[in-house]
Amino acid sequence: MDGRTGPSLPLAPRANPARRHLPLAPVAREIDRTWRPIYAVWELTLACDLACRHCGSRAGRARPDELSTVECLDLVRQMAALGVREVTVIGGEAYLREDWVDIVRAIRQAGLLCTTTTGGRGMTPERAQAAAAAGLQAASVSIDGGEATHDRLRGVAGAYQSALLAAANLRAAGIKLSVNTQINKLSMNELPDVLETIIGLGAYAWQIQLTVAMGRAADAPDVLLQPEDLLLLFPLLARLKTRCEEAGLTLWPGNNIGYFGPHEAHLRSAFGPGHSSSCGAGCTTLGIEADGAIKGCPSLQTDPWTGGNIRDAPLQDIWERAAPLRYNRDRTVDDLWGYCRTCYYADICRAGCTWTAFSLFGKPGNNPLCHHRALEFRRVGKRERLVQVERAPGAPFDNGRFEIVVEDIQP
Amino acid sequence: MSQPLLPCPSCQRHVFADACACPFCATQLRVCGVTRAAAASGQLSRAALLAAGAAALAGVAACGGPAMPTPAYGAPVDASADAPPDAGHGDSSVADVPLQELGPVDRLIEAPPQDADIDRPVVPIYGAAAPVQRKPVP
Repeated sequence: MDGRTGPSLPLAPRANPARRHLPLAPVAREIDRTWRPIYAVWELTLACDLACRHCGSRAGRARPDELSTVECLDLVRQMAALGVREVTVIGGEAYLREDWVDIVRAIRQAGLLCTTTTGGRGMTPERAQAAAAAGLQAASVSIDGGEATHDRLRGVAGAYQSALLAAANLRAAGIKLSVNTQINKLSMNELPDVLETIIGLGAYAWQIQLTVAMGRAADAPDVLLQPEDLLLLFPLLARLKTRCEEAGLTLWPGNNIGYFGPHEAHLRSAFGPGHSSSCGAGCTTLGIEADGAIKGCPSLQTDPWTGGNIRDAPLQDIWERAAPLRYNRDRTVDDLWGYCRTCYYADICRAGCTWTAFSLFGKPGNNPLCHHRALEFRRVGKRERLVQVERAPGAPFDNGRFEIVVEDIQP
Repeated sequence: MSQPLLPCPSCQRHVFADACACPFCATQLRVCGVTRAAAASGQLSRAALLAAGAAALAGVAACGGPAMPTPAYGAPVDASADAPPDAGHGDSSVADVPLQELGPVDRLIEAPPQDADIDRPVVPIYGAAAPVQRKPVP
């Protein structure tokens, strides 16, 4: 056993074949035609060459029924027709699919932007050059801390050095480089050093997101941030944002970096409204699993949030007529519960990231991982603490269940 | 559709554009329940005048200026269809003091950046948006 990486991670059982889903609604409503998926994240394969401890999909083995090349190319055509403007191909590791470059090329030839997110372990110069030749415009490499932390989180010794090498290979191939980082108890205090590393790599952007209690991350709840941790995290992020501006780097707070504390306008100054918004799953965002399952967001759990399968119905029909994709189009404050139901920002925020809330409680509408909320609890001498009361069963895209304990802040 | 949000000039926490005072730090943001006559007769303090000016600026933003409805993941959304007709003007039963009656005031609230470029990269949930405009492969 490698002391830095801890015990080896068990690979999840192979994912089940795609399931049939509820029938689509007979007709599309006006609102279903108004919302269009501008951004799609496409899991090309669940095969992966890393074993990340926070991986929500417990990636490793390919799904038993992943789309064929012909099916993928047809899906590209359907996405373009529906109005998708940018596609990020992911996995697992997208490059482990032999035809991934062909799919990238098809996306570009359809007139869409194409990017990828990668752990980078196998992003060789040859792969990077082939991707660039196919038209891949940008790649986001995951760096989750210093070397020891990164290797521990990624489950493979040497993963950090591989990521740095991948970044260099991508840049050498002429692909714009960005970096994404998970924030949890292991990585939080290392963020300033991570940022300096990223600046040195020549990245143009840095996306940050909280580690969510899904998949393997739900197996290690002690690594996840508690709501109270946000009181320290956000002032730190504000300082890092300033450093990003100095270095000419764009900071992209992920959709679960929230919400509405005193640093909000600074952190999201690059966003249109200057503040976070509600979940865009099924409104502007589309998620695709490698077997053709269509969701409103790639991160959402498979069974409750899949609207249909591309093998059963056209993409447009699933987008417009499937109940799980309609969820956010119809959501109101009445769908919220707990603190979020009463929050000052309820009608704007609507509990923020659906995935984060669902992963904690098995239902959306209440999200304690919120800076504003932590501040309000502290104002009255309280804090919230998340306690896992049910473990995740161990399947791809699964989650356990947590409860909120409200307690006095100890002096 | 909710009112647009703007950062409080004092505590920086977002406040609905029609709020009279910041709910978090109690800073007065606009003059609510004050008649035009009171303003004209000089009965308002300088702080109240500045607050009213800030509110008027916020009102400009809320009525089709830079403040946009919240887009999911930052995707562009048409603001004009959803902006309420009285955005930024609060209760119509009282006359809020318009900016032009107060004379020059400092720009207390920085309006959010423009979001009119429909072709800008979307805000991604994975990685970061492609840094180039859409351009088909030759």
